[in-house]
Amino acid sequence: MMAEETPLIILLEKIDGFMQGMNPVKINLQERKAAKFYEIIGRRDTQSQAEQTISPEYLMTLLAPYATKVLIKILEIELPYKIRGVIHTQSEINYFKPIHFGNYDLFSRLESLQKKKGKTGNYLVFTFRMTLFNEGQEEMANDIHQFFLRIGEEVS
Amino acid sequence: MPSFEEVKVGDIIPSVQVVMDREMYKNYNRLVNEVNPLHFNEKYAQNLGFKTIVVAGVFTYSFFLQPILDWTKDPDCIKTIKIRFHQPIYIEDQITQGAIITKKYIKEGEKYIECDIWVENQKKENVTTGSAIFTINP
Repeated sequence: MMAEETPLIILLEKIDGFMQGMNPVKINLQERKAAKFYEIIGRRDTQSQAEQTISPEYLMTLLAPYATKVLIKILEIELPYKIRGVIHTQSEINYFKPIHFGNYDLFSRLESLQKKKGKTGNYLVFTFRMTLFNEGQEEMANDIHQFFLRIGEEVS
Repeated sequence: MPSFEEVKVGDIIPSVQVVMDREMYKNYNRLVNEVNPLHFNEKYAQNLGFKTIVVAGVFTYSFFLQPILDWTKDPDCIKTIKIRFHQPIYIEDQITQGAIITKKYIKEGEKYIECDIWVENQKKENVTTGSAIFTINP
């Protein structure tokens, strides 16, 4: 068991180190970009518009490019496996305050890394947390995602 | 929507239907700079064993809260969302989303409601589940 776990712990520390090296990511939340999202999905609630806030369904979209950046970083790390595909399996989002247009800091951490055997193959399971702070360092929301990376044989 | 006092555990929040429209999804992928070929390359998706292009969870999340937000008419009501993607949602699938109230309580003067959310495709397969905690203001 130890022999199996040790490389994962090293990998976790390596990836978490990468993620922390990116912190904080500066986000300028613009009305123009949010408007594009609402135009695409065909919805815009008038209350958020009047209060110059984003509605909760936009948060994950707003943070998606940063989550992608994290995943690309993970893939850039010399993983001991060939990656066959990436699947988003679950998320938890906590909203603490209404989020207005403006500037924010985003912090990411890798929470866990596991190896799992599924029906269709072997997977590395990544769980990472993204936390959004306003300029007053108040936590506005956090976003915890789990991704399954389908892995092939070990790279020697 | 009914008041907090009128809401009962077991009440159903009206369901909402959405089609995973190809053009809409193409525009969405451009917006988020999607890089995972599973979400835009049919051959790649099929090589991984999927029927066709799998719609990204982040896109389906854009609609996940719709039943609650349509019901409460309050975009600031959402406190916590949990979402689990059990089965792929494919491009052009028609999904139906609904919710059922599981709990209600008052904490520090705020009125909270919890519900389970389900999403099924046109074959009535349960593709996504989740839960939400939201507040009701008088």
